[in-house]
Amino acid sequence: MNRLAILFALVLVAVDGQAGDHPAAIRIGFASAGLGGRPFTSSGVLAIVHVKSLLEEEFKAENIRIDWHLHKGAGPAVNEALAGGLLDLTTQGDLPSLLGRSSGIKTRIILATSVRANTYLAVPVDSPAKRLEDLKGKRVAYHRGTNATLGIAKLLHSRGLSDADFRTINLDSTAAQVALTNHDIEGAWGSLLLFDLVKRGVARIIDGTRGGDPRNTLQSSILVTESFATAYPSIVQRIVDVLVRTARWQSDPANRSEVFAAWAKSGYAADILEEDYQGDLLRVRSSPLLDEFFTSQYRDGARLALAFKLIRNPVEVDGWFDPRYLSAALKKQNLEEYWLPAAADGSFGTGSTQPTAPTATQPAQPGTDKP
Amino acid sequence: MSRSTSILSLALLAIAAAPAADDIATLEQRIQVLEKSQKDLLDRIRSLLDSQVVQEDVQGVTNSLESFKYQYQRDRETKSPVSVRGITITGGLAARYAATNRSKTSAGADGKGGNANGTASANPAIVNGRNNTFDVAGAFVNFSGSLYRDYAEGRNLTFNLRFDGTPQTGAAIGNSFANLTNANVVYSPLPTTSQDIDRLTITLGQQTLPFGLEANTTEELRPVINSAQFVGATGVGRREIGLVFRGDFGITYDYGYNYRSSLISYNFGLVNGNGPNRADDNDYKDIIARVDVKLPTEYNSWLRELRLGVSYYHGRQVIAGATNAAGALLPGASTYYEGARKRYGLDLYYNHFPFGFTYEFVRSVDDVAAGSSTTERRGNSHTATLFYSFGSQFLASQRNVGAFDDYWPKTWQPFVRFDRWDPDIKISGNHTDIYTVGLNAFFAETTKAQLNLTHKREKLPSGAARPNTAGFITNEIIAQLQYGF
Repeated sequence: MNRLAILFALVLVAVDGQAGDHPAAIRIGFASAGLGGRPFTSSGVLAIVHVKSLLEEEFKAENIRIDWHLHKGAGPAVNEALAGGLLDLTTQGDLPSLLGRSSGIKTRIILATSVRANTYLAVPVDSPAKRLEDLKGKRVAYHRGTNATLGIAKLLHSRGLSDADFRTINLDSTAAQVALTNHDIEGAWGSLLLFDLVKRGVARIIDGTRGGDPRNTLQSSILVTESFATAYPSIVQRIVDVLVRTARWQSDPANRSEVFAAWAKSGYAADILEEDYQGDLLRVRSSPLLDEFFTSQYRDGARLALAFKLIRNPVEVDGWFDPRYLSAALKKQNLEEYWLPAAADGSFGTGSTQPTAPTATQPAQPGTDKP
Repeated sequence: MSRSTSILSLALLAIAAAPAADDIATLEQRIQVLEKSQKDLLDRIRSLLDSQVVQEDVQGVTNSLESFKYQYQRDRETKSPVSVRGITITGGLAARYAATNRSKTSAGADGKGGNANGTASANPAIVNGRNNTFDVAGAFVNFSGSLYRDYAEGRNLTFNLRFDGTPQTGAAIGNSFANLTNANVVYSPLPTTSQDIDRLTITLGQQTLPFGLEANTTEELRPVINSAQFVGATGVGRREIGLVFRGDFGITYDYGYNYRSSLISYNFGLVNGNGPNRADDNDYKDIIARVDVKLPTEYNSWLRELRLGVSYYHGRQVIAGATNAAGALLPGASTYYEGARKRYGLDLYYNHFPFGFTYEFVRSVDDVAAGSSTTERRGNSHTATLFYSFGSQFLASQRNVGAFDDYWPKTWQPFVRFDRWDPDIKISGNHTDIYTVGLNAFFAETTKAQLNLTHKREKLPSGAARPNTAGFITNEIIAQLQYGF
């Protein structure tokens, strides 16, 4: 009987491949893929880690395989993979991860990434519209349920508007871009990819979150599944160490062109990617901190998702954040004061919502120049 | 000139010459600096000329663009299929090998219960001791596309055209025909731009009937190589010409997964009831109706994709009067009758990755010629299938990932199926059971390899032409490669 039990355990180990002190593979997800499906993205610090094969290097000695899954289906596809037990760690936008948590997916947020991402409103280049209000009663498209949904709703609310003021049409980003080009709609909300239409001379950006209240912007995070974090805490710590070191490198202005070149491997031109960062410090947008601004954005998102009926049940956010790995990495790398924590309103305590240059409150940059 | 004057001149010259030497040195230095500056400038100009666009570069790009336009236009005219509207062309083919444990000498002439399941058994008409064969089960090509796209609200008009080629039964030489199977237009009168709203489509033309599960499952998705027996026996699997409404309401849309679930799906339509590519043979239009109920769950619920459906088909059919052995009408019998043709279906569907289960019950009620009149004959069918997937190809998130190569999430899907068909429930011991165990290997986007082992048990009542109440047993192995494009 004992032999049978041992044999059974061995079979389980062989099938699972994840028993022992470290896993056979770490399965990492992205909520995006590159242009035309190429296996690179521009999704923040994890994209740099991917391009530079830093995790492969980190776990080379243990022969741990790194499996990258770049989901063209964005956040919902990541949720599906998480629900199917097919990912250990992933990057995901705030709303999709909130929706996933509301449905019972067990994850922990261990790091912020790509914070303060913008949403833009584009119109055909020959449109008479000059501002958002000019599109009242007109056909305006966006992809409901994606990360941009909350940002759009908050921006509209801040102007005293809502979806009801427009003929809102639910189109994914590709269909919306085609419809805008064909003048089948009068406006389209979207991400920086709309700059591709601008560059081609078929659209103009007339509004958006850039330069406005940072609470209308989008946040993303690195999540680890509870099962993986419980089974391999030291592995998670090493991953976070690599991510923080890379975020530090990414924040250095001296590496700005190299950062955009790495993201441009996704197929999107570096100047389009840079357009989204105009007026922003990479250091601010690359902050991994789970600060008050970041956590309050998730709390706010949970409240709004329920109000907009995107979820059925309230989501408890507070127990979701697990800053232990980040704190240890910051201390280990002497970066505890490198990124300035932001207040709930997005300001950095000096009255400015977003510093344009290093200030006294943004200390000099310690650490190395290489990720 | 006096000597003193000459000396003075020389002295002045010497005085003048002394600072001139310094100037020359300075000038030489300046010249060197200027020469270096000139060289730097030239280098910079050369560098700029190298990096900046010049007229020749523009001309080169223009020439390349013109060449590309010419080549593109030429290829489009001479080498590319073109159409007035955008068309998606798909197709598929299944090639297979099958072997049975009983040799076959001719159609049903082995005296032991006829053909094994599945193999192109009646082709050719005469065989001699065959117990295995290669065959092509069928091939199809499908054209579909948009006739009108409504960008604003998605009230689209689309079309579907499909031809199926299958080996012809009894063909002495290898004939096959491409039969028109699907030929219909579909209109969506309700908006389709949002996922969380009700849907309705109207399909006009030749189409599959919305009856049950098996009859609507295409070969590409069905785990078993051969359809359940009732599909062919009751005719619910054949195409019909008519007008069918398909819709749903009570939508639950889980934005976290892009998962759409409807509380009620409904189908209602009128069809000829006389099969594909034929006009009606009577004035009565057959009625098809189907409703299925699904619990309003989110994606991550264990009740996801649990569905209960009922189907109903009510039709009339022309029945030839009963004849004697010589082909003459029996005394008192009419040449034709018009009788009932009804089908009732109940099905249960549960597909929750990685496993799934389906059960389907079908009852057929047909008027058949008997003596000088007609009588009612009732048939029953039970079909149950259980499958499990090792691999993730059935998850959309895993199929649509960024990759350079021809990536596909390889998947193994073992399954078991029980299939019973009783053509006349009034006669006891008159049914055929087929037990199937199989394995599907999905190793590329549109290709799968299938292996089925079937155990077929035919029971015929005492008094039948080939009675065997214990059951004729036929075992068969079928290996099939099914691929699409």
